[in-house]
Amino acid sequence: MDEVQFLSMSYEQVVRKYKKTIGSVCVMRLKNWADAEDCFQNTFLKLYKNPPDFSDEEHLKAWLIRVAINECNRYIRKNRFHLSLDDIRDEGIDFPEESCDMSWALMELEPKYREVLYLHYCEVYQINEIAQILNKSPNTIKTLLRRGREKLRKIYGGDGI
Amino acid sequence: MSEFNFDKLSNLEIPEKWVDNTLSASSTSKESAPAFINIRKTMTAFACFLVVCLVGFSLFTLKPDKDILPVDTTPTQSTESSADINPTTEKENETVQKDTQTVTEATEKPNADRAELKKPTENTSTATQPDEIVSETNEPENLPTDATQGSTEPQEPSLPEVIFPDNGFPEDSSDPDYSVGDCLVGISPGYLVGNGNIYCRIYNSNHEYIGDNNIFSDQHLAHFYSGFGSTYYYYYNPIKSGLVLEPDTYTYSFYNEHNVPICRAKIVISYPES
Repeated sequence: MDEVQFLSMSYEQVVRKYKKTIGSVCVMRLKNWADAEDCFQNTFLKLYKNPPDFSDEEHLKAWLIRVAINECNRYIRKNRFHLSLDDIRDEGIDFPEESCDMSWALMELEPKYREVLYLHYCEVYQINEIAQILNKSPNTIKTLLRRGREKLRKIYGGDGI
Repeated sequence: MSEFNFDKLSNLEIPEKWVDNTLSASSTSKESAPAFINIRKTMTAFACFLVVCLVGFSLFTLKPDKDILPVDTTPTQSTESSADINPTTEKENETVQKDTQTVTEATEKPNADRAELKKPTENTSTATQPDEIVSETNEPENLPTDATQGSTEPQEPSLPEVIFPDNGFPEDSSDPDYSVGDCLVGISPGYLVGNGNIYCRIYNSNHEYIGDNNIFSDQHLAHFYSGFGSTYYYYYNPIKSGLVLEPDTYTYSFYNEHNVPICRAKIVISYPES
């Protein structure tokens, strides 16, 4: 396992370093722990099998996030007719409502808003970076952010900011 | 996270088993890494290959046939037409001529003068004089064409400029079995068409039609002589068949059933002074 090196890091080191980021992306995308685990594993397997040349760690992180999102989208398309809401509720991510935390409200948004808001507020990515990761234009990212915030406020209600 | 508070999401704890399972799966995939085959691309390429083969095969097999050149069919000539026989008449006559030379010592007069036909009296002085045969080339197209059998109103025959040499000649008058009016006719089997009957029209020296179409065959009046190649010889005597012929030089014109002229003989009828 130590044979593969990614910017002076071993494969295991890369997995442990970015497990929270990639895991959160998968959980946020699928809202299901079991499915998120599969996509999490597939993402790092792709890194292991076909590692591209990374210029820096940010490049590696952005690549992992992009692959994780694609894996989640592929999983959704593949299991579109097999995913039941009951399964999601049973193994879904439960963020109880708290006065300050809006994680549960974020989970109520559509995936496209959720991704952008997560990357912007949780991973602290800039709009241009988010645009590169999601392969969208910066204006699209701005639009998604604005609409996401509006919906989030409606879901959360009141002045939660 | 200034605007929104996503602490719980940011501090989401990823189970450690995820990492362990991922590392385990990665090592397993490395050890027994099967050859990755892009099934979709392979199937697509194979399908394209099949399509190309089918298109090429259909183009090759379904190309229009080459134009079949019309067969140059020459119109078949009916044996009933005189034109079929006419070109070979001279050839047949030559064959008969060669055959008959061995049978008799009859003299030939090729390209006889037409004036001799108009002067029968000069050649019929006595009964013992040998009968003459006018030998001329054949032009059957000038002969009257009366295809009906037994017609009683033949057309005015045009005296042909040619006759068939050696096909009809009387037997030697010195022969004790000779009878006035006898004629031996040699006929090539090519002329024996239809029922095989041979017709004879008799004209006098003035080119007047004398007798009906007498049908003679070996069953009635003729004697069949053989032994000379493919030529069939018929013995014919109109007087014995009941036709009254005055002393004169007559022309026996022989035709087959399709009214194709076969041969002609010039017979001198003279009766011995009793």
